[in-house]
Amino acid sequence: MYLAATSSLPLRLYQWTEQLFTDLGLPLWLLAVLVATVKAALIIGFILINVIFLIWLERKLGGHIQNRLGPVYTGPFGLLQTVADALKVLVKEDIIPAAADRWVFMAAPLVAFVPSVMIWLVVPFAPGVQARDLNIGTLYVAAMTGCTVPALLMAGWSSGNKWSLLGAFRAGAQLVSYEVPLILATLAVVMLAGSLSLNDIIRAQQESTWFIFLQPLGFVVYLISAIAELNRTPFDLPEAESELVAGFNTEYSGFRFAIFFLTEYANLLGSSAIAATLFLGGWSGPFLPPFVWFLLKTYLFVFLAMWIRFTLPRLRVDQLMNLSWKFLLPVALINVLGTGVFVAL
Amino acid sequence: MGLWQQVADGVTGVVKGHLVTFRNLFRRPVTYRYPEVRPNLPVGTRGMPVLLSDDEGNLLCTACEVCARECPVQVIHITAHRDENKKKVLDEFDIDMSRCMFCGICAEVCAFGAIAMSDIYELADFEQENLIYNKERLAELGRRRKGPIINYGIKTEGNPYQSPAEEAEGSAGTADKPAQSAPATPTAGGTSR
Ligand code: SF4
Ligand code: SF4
Repeated sequence: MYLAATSSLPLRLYQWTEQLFTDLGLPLWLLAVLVATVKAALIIGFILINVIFLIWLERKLGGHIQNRLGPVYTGPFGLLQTVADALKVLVKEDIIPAAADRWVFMAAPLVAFVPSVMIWLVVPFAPGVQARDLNIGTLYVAAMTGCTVPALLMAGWSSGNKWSLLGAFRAGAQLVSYEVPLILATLAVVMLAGSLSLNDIIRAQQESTWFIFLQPLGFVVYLISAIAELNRTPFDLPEAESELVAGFNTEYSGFRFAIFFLTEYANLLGSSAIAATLFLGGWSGPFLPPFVWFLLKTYLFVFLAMWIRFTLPRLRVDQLMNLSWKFLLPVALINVLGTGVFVAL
Repeated sequence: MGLWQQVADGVTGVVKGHLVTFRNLFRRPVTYRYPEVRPNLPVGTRGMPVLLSDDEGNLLCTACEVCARECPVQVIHITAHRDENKKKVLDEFDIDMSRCMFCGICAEVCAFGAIAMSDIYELADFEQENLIYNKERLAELGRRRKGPIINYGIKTEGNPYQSPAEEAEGSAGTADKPAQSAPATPTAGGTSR
């Protein structure tokens, strides 16, 4: 985590380790590697714990929206359902089809997983608790979400299966289309804050108000585009069960399928955290500790995404494209224009 | 219809849909937690067909074999002989439950009301032969009848997965009918369908 004065224990720990390293005569780059590893481990741990909870939450919420119960038998309230599922998936055979492009096929899930973790590099958990406060934070996030496309294309192409390929093409078209309004919506926020750094955006919101009140239109555009980027219903065309079996992950099983699944939910969590930071003031808030506020706001977005998933049916491909290019893009442009005038005044 | 009208309609539709799902989120789930809570099935539910007896415990069946002929999957096997008064006497009456599709036609065509659809539906067994129910077993299940025959169906009482002797001993081990039971479905009591 970013070692500011607010968190004295990590700082002391860091100084102590630094002292140890100089005493032992070890090179300092080794220390940098160690610190980076610890940060990465903490972030991946955070993601894993949350994903386990998210999958349970999705099933429970979906169940209750449909007047069912959701998981009930595994642990209290079925909380351990994801653990059971993960165990089941992990002991399954890792099948690689004969027609598959072996190495690309094997690499695709990992290529998909890496950007979903990389997003968390710039997410501010609490004041000073951030892996790295990049001054181009939002740009970095946009770049990392864009990195999912090659992974999905790899998965679809290398499977050597028409459903996978169609799913991958759809994913490519969809992600590219929705990246544009997504970035334009983010741009309006950046214009208001006057900085690309996520920390500065939070500080700007502390000074004025949450940007969701200044940018209601931008928020809606962001929400729709983010859900489309996440390939979630109603935009789950790349893996539409009724049309494409399972889209780009048709041929995946066992461990590799689990990684795709994990990536999907890690992306959901990441997008929610970014949305909470951009529009709801991130960790800032009264009474409760900042980290709790951060989690609450993130989960508000998660809830929105799940609520939408269990309400709307899937779009057709042409409707999907129309929504992006004929509706969201103009709205986002007008929003940017309006924000520009507002900032200039 | 203008573009703005379309957009307005779309937005209202989406918002309305979300309100509906949100309301449903807080409704009581309709799920029965099945093995623990069993549905209180209405009379006339088509479970397995059973043979009914009169008050003295004699089977009502006259071995006319109409049911055997009408059964769409031909799973009823009847053998009979004629006694000295040339009256037909039932010897065997087997239903192969592994292929019975619980259509209820046998009960509907029986002119003597001798066969009825019970509310017993848990028929899984480890031996396939056990699924061929003979006259004695069908009659025994039929004697568990409780209440009237409605829509060719009856309700049973007691544990149909134990023989009466076992039940009298109160031997545990086999599945007991649990005390807990789901609320009666509105159609209970069976009206004309
Ligand atoms: S059950 Fe009814 S229809 Fe079937 S043989 Fe007996 S009397 Fe005839
Ligand atoms: S319920 Fe239908 S299938 Fe079963 S024995 Fe009766 S007529 Fe045959």
